[in-house]
Amino acid sequence: MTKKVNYKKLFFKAIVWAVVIILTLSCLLPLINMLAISLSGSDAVAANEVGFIPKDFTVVTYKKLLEDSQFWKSFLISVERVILGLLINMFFTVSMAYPLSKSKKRFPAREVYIKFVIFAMLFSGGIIPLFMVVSNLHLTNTIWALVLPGAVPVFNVILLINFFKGVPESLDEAARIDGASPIEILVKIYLPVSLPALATVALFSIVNHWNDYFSGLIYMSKSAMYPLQTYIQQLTVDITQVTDAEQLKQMASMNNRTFNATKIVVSTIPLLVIYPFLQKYFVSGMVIGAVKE
Amino acid sequence: MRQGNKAVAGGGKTEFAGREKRMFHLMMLPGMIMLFLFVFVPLFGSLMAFQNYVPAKGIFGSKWVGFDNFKFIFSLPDSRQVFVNTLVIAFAKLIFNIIVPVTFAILLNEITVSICKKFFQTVVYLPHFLSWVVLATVVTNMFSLSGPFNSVLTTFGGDAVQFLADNNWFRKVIVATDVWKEFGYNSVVYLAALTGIDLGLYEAASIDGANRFEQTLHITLPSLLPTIILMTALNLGNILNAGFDQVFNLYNPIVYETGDIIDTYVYRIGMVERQYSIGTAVGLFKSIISFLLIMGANKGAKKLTGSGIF
Amino acid sequence: MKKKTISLMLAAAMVMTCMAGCSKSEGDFTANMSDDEKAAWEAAANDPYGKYPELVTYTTGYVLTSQGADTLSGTSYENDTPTDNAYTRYVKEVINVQNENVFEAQAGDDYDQKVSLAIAAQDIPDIMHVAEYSTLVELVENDMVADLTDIYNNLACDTVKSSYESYGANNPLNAATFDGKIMAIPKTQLSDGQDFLWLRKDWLDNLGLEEPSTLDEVAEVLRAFIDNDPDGNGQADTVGLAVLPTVYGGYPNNHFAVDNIFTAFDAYPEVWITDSDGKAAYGSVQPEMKKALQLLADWYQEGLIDKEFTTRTTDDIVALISGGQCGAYIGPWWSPFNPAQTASYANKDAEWVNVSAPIGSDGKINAINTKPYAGFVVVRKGYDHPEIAMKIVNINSEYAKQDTSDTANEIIENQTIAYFNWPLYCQVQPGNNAEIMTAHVKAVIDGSADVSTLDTEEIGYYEAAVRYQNAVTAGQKADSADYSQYISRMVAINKFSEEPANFMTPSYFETSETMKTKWASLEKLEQQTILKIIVGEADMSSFDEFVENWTSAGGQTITDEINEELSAK
Repeated sequence: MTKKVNYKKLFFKAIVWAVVIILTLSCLLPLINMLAISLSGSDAVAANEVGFIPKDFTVVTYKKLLEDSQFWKSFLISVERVILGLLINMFFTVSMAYPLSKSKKRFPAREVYIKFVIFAMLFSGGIIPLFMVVSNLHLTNTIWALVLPGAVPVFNVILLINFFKGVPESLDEAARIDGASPIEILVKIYLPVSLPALATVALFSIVNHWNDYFSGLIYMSKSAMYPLQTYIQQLTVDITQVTDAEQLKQMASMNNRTFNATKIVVSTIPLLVIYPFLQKYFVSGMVIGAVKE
Repeated sequence: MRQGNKAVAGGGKTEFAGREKRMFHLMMLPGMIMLFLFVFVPLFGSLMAFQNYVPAKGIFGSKWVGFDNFKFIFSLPDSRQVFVNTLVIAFAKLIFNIIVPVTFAILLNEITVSICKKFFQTVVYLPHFLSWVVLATVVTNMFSLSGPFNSVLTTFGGDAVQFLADNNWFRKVIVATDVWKEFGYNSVVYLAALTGIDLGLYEAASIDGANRFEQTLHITLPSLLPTIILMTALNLGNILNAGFDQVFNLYNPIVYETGDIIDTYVYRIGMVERQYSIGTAVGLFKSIISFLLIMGANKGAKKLTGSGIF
Repeated sequence: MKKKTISLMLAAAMVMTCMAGCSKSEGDFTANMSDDEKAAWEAAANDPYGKYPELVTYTTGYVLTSQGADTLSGTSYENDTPTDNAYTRYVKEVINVQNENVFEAQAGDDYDQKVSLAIAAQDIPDIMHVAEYSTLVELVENDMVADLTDIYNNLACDTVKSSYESYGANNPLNAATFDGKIMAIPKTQLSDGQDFLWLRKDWLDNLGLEEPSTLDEVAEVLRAFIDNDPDGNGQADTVGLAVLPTVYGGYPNNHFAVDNIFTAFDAYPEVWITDSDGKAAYGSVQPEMKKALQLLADWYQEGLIDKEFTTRTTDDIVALISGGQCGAYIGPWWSPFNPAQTASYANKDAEWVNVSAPIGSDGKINAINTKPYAGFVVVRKGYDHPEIAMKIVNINSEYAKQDTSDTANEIIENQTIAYFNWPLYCQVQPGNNAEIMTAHVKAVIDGSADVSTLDTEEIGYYEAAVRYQNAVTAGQKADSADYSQYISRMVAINKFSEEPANFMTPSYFETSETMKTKWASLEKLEQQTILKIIVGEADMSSFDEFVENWTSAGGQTITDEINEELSAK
């Protein structure tokens, strides 16, 4: 009897592992392909001869990217932007999600607020009017142009509202009777039990800020002020503009496919580093359940 | 005395509730200012939808044309086809972008070897970062006549198919590749939700003799339901966005019939010359539909689960 | 809170009012000057290369090349900026003028985006380059740019004037002229001549085939390329002619487009031709299209053109060619620079030859002329020193090239580094400049001229040619970069003069009013029909249907509109 159950369990486990591994592989292989392309000679890549192992191994594209002083300047701008943008996003996400997660009875105005918020998520005036507002507030060519227009990530606010709603009301009942202010309740009770949710929205914010190249292009008038994604997306290998033989030789060993692959590898690495750090909040488990009576 | 006491307590409570409400308003204020400045003020730009906007003339100098831009969009010979394509593709993506990530999150949760779990999770979240420009080459090769899918097909005696140049296949390929690219990233939110499930529930269930599958059915899924409903409702707002970058990089005139979507069509209109007014009109139209859908979904969710999504 | 609301309202109001037009007021800059000073300024303004008594600063948008700043690292120019580089220093040295960039961006969409935003904000720089004709029209119609007629007549240098004239009836100045006034300085578009059929020479030799010229001969070569194992690897792994999914368009610089097959039948798809009545008509809806389509459908059926062409991206086609699976495509004279050729040369020892095929009824390739301009320099209306624009274009096009003094050294060196462009991104050159340069280099190789006769750009080509020839003589494989330079500039380009083509000049290059909105759906109709006919999903009767639909869905309106516009000119 027990043996039978174990077989069944084992079988079940095997299937789960198999499915997950297959899905993972399907995602991993194109990435390895990308890495191999970034490390291969352009001719082999142009001929579609690169699979999972680099051919005519070369790091010339990495050299082009990393030896560029503007690359590092832009990298720092991006880091600054992500940190600042994350702090601002988290501040607005938490401060808006908490009151909005309360019932109509406790916060009647929420019904009006929420409609505005949803409206703001779905409607936009387009690039030109937004540009004019940002430029009339004298934010263009400053880091604020990159973080303030998207200061309230409405999607994240709604996610967090729903996580907060899941926190049992009994939790703050006691604190309210003790006379704690809403902010104290938020900071001392809600935030600690919402770490997985906070990690999720933080991840979304980081990814958004890191990957967005368009606002850099619009609001920064000079490339010296571009964040990383804006800077590298406008770098291409254009051989027709080069007339110097030395340079042509160097250029001939890369093309846009190898160069693009390198851009992706290089710009994804910082996100790869951050992810496991946030991941630990997803596995902790049972935070909310533990306080439920 | 007793009465007075009650009055005092009651007064304290209303006073507290009042203070709380003021505090709540105060917490909302900074965010609302931001939304006002960067969303509501620029919204006057939507007026372009009712104009023949010329940048050099500005919003106040351009000619007003009423609903002409909207009439124009709906009078285009292909507008019905494009609209249907968009809805079909977006709807299929909506469904599968829920089913697959949820399934994956549940399966991944079954894996108890922590390091493997983390590794799998990290890997599947990466394709999200590859742009369709880059992936298009990979996808066309996979689905080409000499690609792996056709090899499998012909080994089993089938006829080779040009998947990307076949109106019977194009949408399927679009949906499948999109789901593949995004399921890892989409599963993050479900993984976070899974951490909120009370482990005690599983213990109780297994004491009752429920197996893993039954536990999933009766505990895990119901616990994920609010998140699933939430994500479905939020994604409903995207029902008119079928994925410009993807379709644009994979389609060709042969599959316009099934693959041309609103965004690719508007893009081609804009290619002839920048069409701010038409672009804005389409955007406004899409926003209004999304708004109605999300509000409807909220009502539906309220009926279904007793509480709305927001 | 109330205060905040009010200040917000004010901010919003400010935003709104400013949009109505924040214009700068300007006084006369000569107001407080003595007569001598005035005369000095006057003299500088009226001399094509006159140096101003004091530094003049103009605001502008700076166009960068797609090379990153990294191309300068390790050189003595690594600290250069778009306001302080070899070019700007040179302009400052010669005429005492300095640029102040209100925006900088890559040539192309990025730069055009910035221009649109500047126009929308009603705040354009003093002098700037605009890429699109429609933008120029918008600026002119809204009275935002200055009339440059007198400035052009008085100040344009000989090189600029003669270059424009070299275009004949196709003079780029015509596009910049509105009601008889020159409103912009056009940048010239070099002519790239006719497209050629590029074939793998080594495959032709392997199979003992002659270079084809008629359509039948081309078909025969393609047949041999797919059936007779031209690469001798014992496998039937080759495809026929590479074809772009859009089939045609963008002549002549669109690699893998097969316009030449259509023009061989006197069909001119996707351009506005002049019909027998002397009126503008759209090439894609003419009956001549049918024969060409029938041929392509037959070729597709037989596999003479790539069976999967509808789903190939450009990268895919490049992969086919450089991987040695495809040995025939149509492309311009500079095609050896395309990675398809460089990679196949490097990897597969491919040798390529450009063939004048397929030919039309008179034995020549029928080719299509391009539009003669590639952007415009405009000056903000009300700017004090509008002549600066012309003077800088003079320097870019003439002065710098003839300057042998040390001042010009920095520019010579920077031309090969290529990150910063000439200020205003405008050089005016004769249309056949590439041929002229080749002739100069050839003369030196022949020994009939001295190296010192070459200008800086030509020296680069000369050196590459010498390296290539030395490698070949030594029995070695030349560097693929040198291969590209040599085959294109020294070999392919010769066919322009040896096997001249017939050139058809389209009657209309621009976008008419109705085209702005309806063209996308007409184009969709066209592409769908063309592709379906070629792959055999639809028969030739659908072409007549297409013509009918096209005409009634706006095609006729557009044709009438264009004819009206043309007769008004």
